[in-house]
Amino acid sequence: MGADYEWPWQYEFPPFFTIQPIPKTKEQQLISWRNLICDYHKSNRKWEVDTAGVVFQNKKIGRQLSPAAIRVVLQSLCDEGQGVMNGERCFVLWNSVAQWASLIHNWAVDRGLTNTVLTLFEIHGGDDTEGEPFHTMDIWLLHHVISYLEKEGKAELMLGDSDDFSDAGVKFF
Amino acid sequence: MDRWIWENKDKRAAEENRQTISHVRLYDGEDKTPFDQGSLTVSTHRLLWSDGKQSIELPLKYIVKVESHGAKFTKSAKVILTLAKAPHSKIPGPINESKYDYIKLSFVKGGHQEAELSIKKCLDEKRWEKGVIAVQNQPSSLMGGGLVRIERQIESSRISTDQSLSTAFKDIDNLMVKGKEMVSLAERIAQKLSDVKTNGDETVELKSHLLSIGISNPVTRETHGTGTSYHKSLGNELARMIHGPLNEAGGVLSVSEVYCRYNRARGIELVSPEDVVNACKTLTPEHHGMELKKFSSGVLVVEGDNFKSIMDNLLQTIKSNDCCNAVKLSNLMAIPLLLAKERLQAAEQHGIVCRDETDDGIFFYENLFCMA
Repeated sequence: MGADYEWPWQYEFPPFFTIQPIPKTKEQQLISWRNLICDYHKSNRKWEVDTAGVVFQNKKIGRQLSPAAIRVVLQSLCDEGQGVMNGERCFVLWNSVAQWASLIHNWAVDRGLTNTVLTLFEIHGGDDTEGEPFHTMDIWLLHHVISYLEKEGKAELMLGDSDDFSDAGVKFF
Repeated sequence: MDRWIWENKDKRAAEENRQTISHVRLYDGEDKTPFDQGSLTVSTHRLLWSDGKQSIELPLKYIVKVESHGAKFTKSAKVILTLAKAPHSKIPGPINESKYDYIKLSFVKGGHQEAELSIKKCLDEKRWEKGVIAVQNQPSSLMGGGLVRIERQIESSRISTDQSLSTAFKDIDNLMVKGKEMVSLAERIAQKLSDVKTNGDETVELKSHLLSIGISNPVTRETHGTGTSYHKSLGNELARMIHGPLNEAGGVLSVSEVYCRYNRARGIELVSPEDVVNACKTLTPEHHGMELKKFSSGVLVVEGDNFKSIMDNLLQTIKSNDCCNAVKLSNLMAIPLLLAKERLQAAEQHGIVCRDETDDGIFFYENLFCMA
């Protein structure tokens, strides 16, 4: 699947790896960065940004984003709703939280799984979600999306005692 | 002339004669008067004119302005005194009606500069106003002691400071007079230089000296009124002056730099930053070949009409070399390193190029971000 991903031209363009000081240019540059991050993670079905990964450094042209520049890019990603921070970790939202929430809710309704308690792990890796776009979604990110549904009154989260959501459940309405 | 009165022989308190010049003729405005070939005495309280037979005086309090005109081919040097209206209670004098508000003192045998300076000095001192107080204070100096004495000492030291200050500024007055002459001399030389087509290092050097003298006849609020017309005239003058530096700097100068260079050229009669900005706003490409631009960051610059061609040239150079740093660009375009830096910065500000910061320095590329 990862082989499908084709790097955009910017990835070969050395100034791409220097945050531009001129606001107008910087704005365009950050749009390119956000698109690159979303497309790359979507193609490779990776949910979490690896700050030491290949995205931020192009060995071929010998350029990489500095840690400060990576923070600028991730901040912009979160500001535009295309990413969300969990402490120091950054998760990519190539669909917006609202889009993910409605995808998951629709799935539950279609399968007749409303008013039933499901564990987060069933949604994450269960047979029922095989082939769904949110299959294998990071468990923390899944919890983040379902919290959004809870606020809309379409689900109820039942958090267990464990920190890794292994015993957390959800009931859709 | 109607402010003159017959001489009052009583000497005023604390009056002091400062200067006497002979061969002075009085004019009532433009008209000659019978008072010819007399001697003029400038005192701290009045001007006294006498030819031995008749003596008349003019109290200094009437004088509002003093001007002098040097001697011309057939005319002798003159000092023109603009006078305030005489009160109705004035004692009748030799001439009691005049259509002029000024008199002229004609100095047949010279001495007009000295006369002008001592009149100005006496006017500044305003001794005739203080005279009364001085008389009242006279007796107390006999029994001076304690606080009064200290106060008097402070007062007298203040007066002597005042005097030395006004002497010091007298020199500046002279300098200003000479300064104008120098500038007109410089202009004449410049004219001659352009008439006679010479070329040599000396000519160039002299020209650069003349240029650094700056603007000889600056636009001021006094000469050009206030508001829009003032800013327009200021803008015209600024455009003429800034044209050269603008080209040298690659077609773009920040307004703060314009402000500094412009005031440097004016030397005196400085203008405020606000007036400079307003003057810059009046600049149009059609009339001045430059205009004011504002960047999104809020930076204001004056941009010449050759800016675009310079930037095109720069972009072509960068494109044909893939990327450039300042050193490489200065070599390729055969311009000084500093100028190459300035141009790259201006191009970056305009979103024409973008930067790549590396361990080897900053390289500039065509701004592909803003092309897509």
